[in-house]
Amino acid sequence: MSTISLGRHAQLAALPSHLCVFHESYAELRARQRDFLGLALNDRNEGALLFGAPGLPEQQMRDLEVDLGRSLDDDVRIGKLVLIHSDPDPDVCLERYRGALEALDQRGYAPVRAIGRCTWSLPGFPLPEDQLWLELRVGELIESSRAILLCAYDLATLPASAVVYGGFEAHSQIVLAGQLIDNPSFIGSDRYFVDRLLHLPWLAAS
Amino acid sequence: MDGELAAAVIDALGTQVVVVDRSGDIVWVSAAWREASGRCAADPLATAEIGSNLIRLLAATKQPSAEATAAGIAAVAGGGRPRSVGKLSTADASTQWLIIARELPVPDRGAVVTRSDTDSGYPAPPPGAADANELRDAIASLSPRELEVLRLMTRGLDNRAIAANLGIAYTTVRTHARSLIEKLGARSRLDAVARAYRSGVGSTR
Repeated sequence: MSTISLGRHAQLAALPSHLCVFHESYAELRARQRDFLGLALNDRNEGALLFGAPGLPEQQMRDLEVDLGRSLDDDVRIGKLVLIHSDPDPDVCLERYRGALEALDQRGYAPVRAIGRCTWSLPGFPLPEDQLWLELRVGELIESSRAILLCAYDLATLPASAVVYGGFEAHSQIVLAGQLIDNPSFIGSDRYFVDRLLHLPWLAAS
Repeated sequence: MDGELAAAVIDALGTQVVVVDRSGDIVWVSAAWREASGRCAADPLATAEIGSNLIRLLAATKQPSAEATAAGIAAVAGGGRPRSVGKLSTADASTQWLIIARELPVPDRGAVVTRSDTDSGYPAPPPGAADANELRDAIASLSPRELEVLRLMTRGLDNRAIAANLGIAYTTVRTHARSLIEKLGARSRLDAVARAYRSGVGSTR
């Protein structure tokens, strides 16, 4: 099994990996993305991917440019850095992830470092129940790739149900305060669909 | 702001908070925490009052997630980590809480621990829920192909996997999926799946 560093002086994670990273402000996420994606953008072989509601990946890219001290336009032009937008349809989101990973692979970029920002009830993003379905399916997509995906969960803005059902139950490992830790609350994909997604409390009466 | 005023603000916000010292002994409990503990009889932290040790109470549940949460709180309270996030549930997992520990901004003073119920932040349920008869009629209105797609959706498959399974184009599956979601009066893919599953359509195996 190969491994990949989560940042300068950071721990190694298995490749591929689908991880959850908790943060409490955009500034904290920005520092994490600089450390994590900066490694890819400063390495000729690696690729980088940003996923989020329309406008968010562009904002993150602009902040990366400031933090890395250079324009990333060429990285986008040659397909080394890919920005993908969410869609209310979770299957469209999944297809966009799949297409971006395949394109990066075909251009010879490996491994791929990706950050996806979880939002809950935001326009342009799948509804909460579909967001959880997307977590499940993206996790399986990543398993067959050469990518490491950090799903960013903002503790300051997301409700407990999003953090517990999405962050904790859909990721086998968690990055917390820079530490990569095994997650005992993780539910494997088969059980997650049957035991969690088919019985979400807010859908029980629908 | 003095301590009394700060406590009043926390109580006014309804936030479930305890403050622990470096060893995990509880030195302060908010009114919302006390009130929440009385609400759930199976709450593993119902006895988390001033003087008890929060880390030992969590570890005593013998839940792996609670034990990890206890270890995280111990690390924060002991000054080894700025923040920890954990999960706790009742023994039957019917109620779950998110537990966040943050270091106090005063050296060697322990941690502040907040607790949130997962059921306090549920999204709004879908509007216009169909009754059982309406749902049966809606399912009966699906075309044979839409019904096949729905059955595979209840197994959790994505559109590309469904297309491969049925030997049809991805875009055709996408069209069927969107159509059946609308016919079932669902607001989302998983809402349609949950409705169908409860009506006995499909299988998770």
